[in-house]
Amino acid sequence: MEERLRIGQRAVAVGMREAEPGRLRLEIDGAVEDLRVVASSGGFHLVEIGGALETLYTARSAEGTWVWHRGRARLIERAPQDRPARPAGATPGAAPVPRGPALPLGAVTPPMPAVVLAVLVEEGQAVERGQPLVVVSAMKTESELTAPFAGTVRSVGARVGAKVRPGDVLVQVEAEGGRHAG
Amino acid sequence: MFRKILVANRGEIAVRVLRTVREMGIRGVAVYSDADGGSPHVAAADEAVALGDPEPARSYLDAGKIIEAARRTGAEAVHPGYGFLSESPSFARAVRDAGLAFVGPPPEAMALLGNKLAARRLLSGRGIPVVPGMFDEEADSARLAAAAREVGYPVMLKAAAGGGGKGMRIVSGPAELPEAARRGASEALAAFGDGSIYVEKVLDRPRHVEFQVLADAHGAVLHLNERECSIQRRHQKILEETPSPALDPELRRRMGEAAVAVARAGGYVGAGTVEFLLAGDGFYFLEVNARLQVEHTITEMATGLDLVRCQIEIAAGLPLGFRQEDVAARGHAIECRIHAEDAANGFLPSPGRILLAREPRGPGIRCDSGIVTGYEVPVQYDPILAKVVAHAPTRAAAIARMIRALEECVVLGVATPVEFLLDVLRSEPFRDGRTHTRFVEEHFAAWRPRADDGLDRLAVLGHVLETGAGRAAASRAVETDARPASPWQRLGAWDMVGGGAWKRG
Repeated sequence: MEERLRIGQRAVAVGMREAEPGRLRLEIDGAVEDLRVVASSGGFHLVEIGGALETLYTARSAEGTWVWHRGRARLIERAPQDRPARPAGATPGAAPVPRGPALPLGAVTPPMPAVVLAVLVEEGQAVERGQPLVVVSAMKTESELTAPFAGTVRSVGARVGAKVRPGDVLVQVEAEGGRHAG
Repeated sequence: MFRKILVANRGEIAVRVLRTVREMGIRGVAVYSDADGGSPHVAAADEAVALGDPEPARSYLDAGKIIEAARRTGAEAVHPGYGFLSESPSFARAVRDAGLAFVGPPPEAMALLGNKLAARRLLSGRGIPVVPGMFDEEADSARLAAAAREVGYPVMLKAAAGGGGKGMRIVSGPAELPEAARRGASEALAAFGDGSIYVEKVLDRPRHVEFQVLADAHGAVLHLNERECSIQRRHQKILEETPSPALDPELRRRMGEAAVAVARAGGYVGAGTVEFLLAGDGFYFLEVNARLQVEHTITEMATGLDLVRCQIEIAAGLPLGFRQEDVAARGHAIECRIHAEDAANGFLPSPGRILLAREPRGPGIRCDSGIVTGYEVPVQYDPILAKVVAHAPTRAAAIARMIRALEECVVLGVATPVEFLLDVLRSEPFRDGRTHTRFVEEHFAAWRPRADDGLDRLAVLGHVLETGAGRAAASRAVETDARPASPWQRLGAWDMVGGGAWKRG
C-alpha cells in the first residue's frame, strides 16, 4: 500500500506492509517503523513502537482523518493525486501545500462558519487595503472581514442574517488596474 | 423545598445544575432551542420544553417563553445558569411577578451590583478601592476620549452590563477609540440588551483574583475564599485555580472581608462573585458577577460544598447551615475550559460536528460537559464545550494531574485549546505562579502547535489504522492476538449515547 498524505504544511509519502498478522512495517518518507498493533477498533488504537505503548484515537471527516495523541490532535489529509507529494527541489518533509479549495484572488470568505451581521460595502465601491467589508458573528464573537488589497468591489454575495461557511465568497474585490497588488 | 425547577440555560452548565436538582430529589425541567433538541442537557432533565428558533433572542433570551414554560410545567423556581438571562434584573423581576422563585439574587441587588458603574459608585463611597476610571456611562466618543486622556492610555472600554469579557476592548490610543466604542457597544447590546460603555484604566499586569460569596435571606454573608483567573484570552478566562499563588493568609483575610462588605452593601442574597484586580500590593474592586460562575467548580472541589445546592436552599428561604469559620479549603484545584475554538488562529470560534469525544477520569478529576460524540456544536451560542477540573493536595500535584487529564481528554472534529493549555501548564512562568492578565499575550502571543516529527509519524500511523489496508491488518492482528478482548477497545462516557449515530432532535 502506498499513499501520499499531508499533515499541516508537510507532505509525506507513506508505505505500509503487513510483515505478519499484527506486525506492520510503516515507511514514512523513506524511514522505516516496525510496530505491533495490540488493539484497534472504533477509533481506538493501541500500538507498540520501539518497546513503548502508544494510544491513538482517530475519526474520519470529509477533510481527512483526525488523529489524537496525548492531548494533541492532527489532521491527516490525502494529497491530491495530480500534485506530487514533494515538489522537485523542495526540502523533504517541508513542502508547503495550499489548503482548501482554491478561491479567486480578492475573494473574501469567513474563516469559520458564521452569521453575517453587516455588509459595509456596495458593488462598484472603491476600497482601501484593510478596509472592513463585512462583519460576521460566530458564537457571539464579532469579526470584521477586510479587503486583502486596494481595489473595487466587483460583487457582494453576503446578505445580513445569512449563515455562511469558509469558501462562501461574501465579497469579491478586484485590484486596482485589474491586477492584484501582491 | 421546591418540587420542580426549570433550568433556563443549555450546554454544560444546564447539565451541571440539573445534576444537583436530581440529587436533591427535585424534578428538573430543561428548555431547548431547535439547535439543541437532543442535547445532553435535555437528557439530564425529567421534562423538557421546546423554545423554537435557535436565535438566542427568540429562545434562551426570551423571558416570556421561559416563564410560560415554567408555568406550563408547574415549576416553582427558575435557575438561570450563567450568561443568557442570568444577570437580567427585569427577568428576575418577571420570574418573581409570575409567582416563581428566582435562583439568584433579588433584582434590586442584581441591578445595583451587576451594573459595573452602579457598583463602582456605591463601593467607592464605602471606602472600597475601585479601578481608576469613569463612574457614568458615555455614548459620545469625544467625551469617552476625554475620560481616556484623563486616566491615561492604554484604557479598557467596558460594557456596564454583563460579564464574561463581552464588549471589552483595550484601546491603546485616541485614534482607535471611536471604532472600538462602536464595536464594544454593539457587542454589549447584542449580548446583554444594554449598549452602555465606559472607560477604565488598564493596570500594569494585574492578577485577576475573585472571591466567592454566599448570602442567605436571613442576613448571613460569608466568603468561600478566592479563585485566581489571570490566564485569559480575549479578556475571557480559560484557566482558573484556587488558592491564588499570590495570596498569603493576611491578604486573603483582607480581600475576603472586602468581598463580604461588597455583598452587604449591595443587599446581596444567593451565590455571587466579587472580582478584584491585584496589582503591586494593592487590590481594586473590579465588578460583581451576580450569578453562578463558570469556574465555581474549583471552589466546590476545594471546599467540598455544592454551590448549586446552596443557591437552591437560599432561594427556598433556608439559612446557610455554616459560619465563616466552618469554611475549610483543602488542597489546590485547577479548571481548564474546553472551548470549540482555534488557539493557533486567534482563538477564533470553531463550530462543527464532534466526531469523537472522551471524558478524562481518575483520582481528583471532574469533567462537566455538554457534548457527546456526534454532537453538532451550534454557531449561535458560546463556544464552551466542557470543563476539566483537577484537585490535588498541592499546586504542583494539581498541575501534574491536570496535564494527565488533558492528555486523556479526546475531542476530535472541532478545534479545541487542549494542546495550548498543556503548553501553558508546562511553561515555567505558570509553574512558578507568575501569572497576570496579560500572561497569554506576553508568553503565548503567536502560539502554534509545536512541530514534532514523532507526533506526525504517529498521526500518519493513526490514519493508516483508521483507513484502508491498515484497518484490515489491524483487525486481523486483534483477531489473532491470544489475549482476551481489552475493555480499552470499548468507548465509554461521551460516546454512550448512540456513538456516531447521535442525532439532533
